[in-house]
Amino acid sequence: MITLPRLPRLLHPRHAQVVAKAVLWAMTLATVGVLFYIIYFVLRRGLGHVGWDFLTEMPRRSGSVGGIFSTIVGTLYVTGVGVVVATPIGLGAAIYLAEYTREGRLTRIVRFGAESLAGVPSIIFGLFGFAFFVTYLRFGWSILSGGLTLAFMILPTIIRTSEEALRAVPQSYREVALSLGASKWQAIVRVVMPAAAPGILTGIILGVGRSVSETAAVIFTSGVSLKMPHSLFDSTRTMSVHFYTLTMESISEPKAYATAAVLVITILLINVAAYTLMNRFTRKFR
Amino acid sequence: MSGDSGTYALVKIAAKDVEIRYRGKVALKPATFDIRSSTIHSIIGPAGSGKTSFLRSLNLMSLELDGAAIKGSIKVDDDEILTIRGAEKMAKLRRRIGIVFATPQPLPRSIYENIAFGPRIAGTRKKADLDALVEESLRSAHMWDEVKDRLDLMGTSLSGGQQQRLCLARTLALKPDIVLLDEPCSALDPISTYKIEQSMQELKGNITFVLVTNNTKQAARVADRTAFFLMGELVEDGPTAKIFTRPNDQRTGDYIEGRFG
Repeated sequence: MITLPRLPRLLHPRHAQVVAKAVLWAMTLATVGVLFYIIYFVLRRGLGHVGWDFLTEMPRRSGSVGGIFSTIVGTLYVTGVGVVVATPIGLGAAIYLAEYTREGRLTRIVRFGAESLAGVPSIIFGLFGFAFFVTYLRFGWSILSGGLTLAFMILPTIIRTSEEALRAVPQSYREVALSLGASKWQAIVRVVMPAAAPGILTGIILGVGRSVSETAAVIFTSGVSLKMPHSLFDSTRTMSVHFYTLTMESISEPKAYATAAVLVITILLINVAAYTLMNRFTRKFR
Repeated sequence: MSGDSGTYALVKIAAKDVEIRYRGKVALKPATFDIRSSTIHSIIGPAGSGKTSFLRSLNLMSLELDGAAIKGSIKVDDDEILTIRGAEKMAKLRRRIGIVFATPQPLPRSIYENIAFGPRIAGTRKKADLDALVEESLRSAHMWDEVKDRLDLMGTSLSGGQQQRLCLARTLALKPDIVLLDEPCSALDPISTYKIEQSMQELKGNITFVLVTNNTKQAARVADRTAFFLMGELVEDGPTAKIFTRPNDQRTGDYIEGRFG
């Protein structure tokens, strides 16, 4: 038995407890505080300029006049393409990892790859998207190029959350399905996936959130056009890019903050939806 | 107990030198015995005796899910099952040989959908056919009167005893000729236990039951024949009355009288 040397006592344990609690509480408060301050800061400067007109009017004179309608549409399209492309690929990879492999070298390599993909700075994705989709595949600055670039960016999120959701489904569900004459694939499609659906959906929603807020990857791939896009090959400007442009080119501060306010509210709503689903999902299996 | 009358009964399952290993570790030493058609055959023995391994090998779940290696031969109606491979053939086997697990495992869907799950996959599509199957299965499991007005209730919201009867009904909906039960009443109240035992007695004309149980009294109550497993070994097998009154092996008597296990 090793006895540790007694440290000199600076504080009575009871007081140390109080101090520790206070410090930890302050750290927690700081985290939440920063979030609330950012939201407050943006909304206070921007919300006053947001109205129905702002949301439904086309931007005019580089966005210094009018609304942000075409950028809302552009954001929806680019995000839509990203999610529609990333979801089946991500889900497929997750099903493979969770259901068809034993933990081993291969799964470790795949998972490491996915995690690394998540760590790549978004501007690198933008550069890659520009070189590959815009230039090499000649998609030009377009919704398609931006959407595909975003798809690669949100893929790791979708893979990871879907895999976790699939793994959280009790093994007994699979056994029951097999025992009732289902094949492995039928068990996955009819029993495991429905049970994991809320978790999978959470991953997709988080991917949507990331797509909506992304700037660097999109500005290189979808461009900055303020015109209403009519096809996947049209250039468009997302809300984030619009905000960036308005600020960097000193076009209009009120319009910039108004755009930021819409963006922040959108992201908040998306996150609330994701966490509500996630909570419902985890409660179901505990 | 009708045990001794079964000498002319047909053999439903013939296990010959069945040895089960998990990663080289022996779970069951070579065991040979027959399970006769239209009987309730119980398998008793303490934990770790290999009885569940044996049961889960009868529908190849030990092979597919637990990573078991099985040697020897298991014939069902004279057809070897240990050589069966491929999803389609395994599914076919499991429709013939149903299983009820130790803890009730309803799927997170309605009572109706729990029961219709198997038949739907097997290709029954017509609503009227499914309705009839659901009613018939629930009646066989002594549950119809309790739930007939609320078939859309979640299976998971039922009481434990009801859940287990739902699982039995779900298995019966596939019209199996063998039903495996893995300690089906270990978590149940006496009334639900009684109802499940009653179902087995009523259905054994058409179905052969293999009942793994920790409860020797249950084996004595319902089983025609009983096999005693101990530490991965089939100690003996015979008519229940004989196993319980005049066992051949000292260890059988010791276990039944509660001297160990």
